[in-house]
Amino acid sequence: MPRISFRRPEASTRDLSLAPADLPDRPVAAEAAEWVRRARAGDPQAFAVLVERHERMVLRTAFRLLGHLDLAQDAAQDAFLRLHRHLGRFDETRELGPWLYRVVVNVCRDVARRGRGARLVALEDAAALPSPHEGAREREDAVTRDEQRRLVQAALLTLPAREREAIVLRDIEGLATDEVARILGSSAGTVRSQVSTARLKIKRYVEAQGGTRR
Amino acid sequence: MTCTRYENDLALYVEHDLADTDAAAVEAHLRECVTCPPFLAELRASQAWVKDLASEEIDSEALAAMRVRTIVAAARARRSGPPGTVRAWALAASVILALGTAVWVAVVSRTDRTRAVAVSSSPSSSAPRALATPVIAPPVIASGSARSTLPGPAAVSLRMEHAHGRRGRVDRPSVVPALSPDDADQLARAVVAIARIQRVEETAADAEPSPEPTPLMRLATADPDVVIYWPLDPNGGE
Repeated sequence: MPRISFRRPEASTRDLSLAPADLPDRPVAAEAAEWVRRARAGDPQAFAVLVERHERMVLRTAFRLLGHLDLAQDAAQDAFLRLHRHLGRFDETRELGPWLYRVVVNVCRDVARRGRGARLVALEDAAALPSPHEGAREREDAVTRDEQRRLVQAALLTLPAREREAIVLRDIEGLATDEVARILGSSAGTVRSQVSTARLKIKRYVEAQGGTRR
Repeated sequence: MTCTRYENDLALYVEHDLADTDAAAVEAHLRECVTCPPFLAELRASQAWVKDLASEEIDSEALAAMRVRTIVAAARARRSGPPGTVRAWALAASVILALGTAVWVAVVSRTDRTRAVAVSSSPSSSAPRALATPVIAPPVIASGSARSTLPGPAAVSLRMEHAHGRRGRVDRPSVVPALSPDDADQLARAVVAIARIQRVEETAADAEPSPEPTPLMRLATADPDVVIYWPLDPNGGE
């Protein structure tokens, strides 16, 4: 049985990144456009560089939206393959990041439509879930940073898809409201409304699970 | 308790998402309200947890696995076909070619049907039955009555050519594509036998019973298997 081993990130970065002599000293946008051009011309190395540069962003976003790492990996792969298919039509003067955000959001919507995404739990039901720890004091002590992250991730999965998309892009990915609106194809006002509602729901969920109130 | 109507504004204010005028109004309210400042503090705490997710590292092996799968899948897609617009053009060209072929086949088959119908409808009722039964009867045979059109050498020659053409030549659209090899052999024997008719006699054979019996000539040939019955036109072909 052949063994498949994955390179460590450092090694893969060294393998796939540009050597200094390989790319002229240009602004970042021009450099990205150069890689897009090369990938479009069929250079597999250039496509690998594009993947490597955006993989964390894409996989992280997919994971926050779907809640499962295996689903997120599939979604991220699908997003990059869509990029590969559309390279011929991609305007290289545009930034790749927002385009990829939009694609990964669409892919995650498709996954959710197929019923493989996060099982949404109504907030009221989620608040009623039994806490893993009985006593308040124990609960406070046990909420480590990892548990805190799991709690927030669970809270994210209780949100309706549009609110989850908005808060993931705005608060976790740190995008501006206008940019989030462009990616989601809605208005800034709608995004603001979705984000504020999502923040309040998450606050209530976390507190109900013995979170931030100490 | 908190001022419910300020909750949404506070949820925006906490991340500086409010316009300046709205933010000023919220700040003014916070100075006067007892319950909203603690609510804002709680919001800040939960938002700190939310934003902490951004610093969580994705498992490097999960990243590497996804990267390898993606690059391999892209390479496979590249090998299996040109990406993007080229593939779309190739698909469109294939569809056009297929449609063109279908139209051509339809036109050719329609032309063949028309020709076959025209030819098969040409023999008259006075043609020898043995030759009229196959789809084609050459015009020279089909014309006139038996008295003036007993097949001569020219007609036989023409028929032989037709029979031979049907059997051996396939490089042009065939008028009688359904003629089997056996039928063609039988037709060829009949044509040869006609050239060596030994006896012509009037007969009362009831090959085709009718209220007014048609005069029938029986053509016995050198081939014992080939006997030609030739119905005569009662009006003498007039």
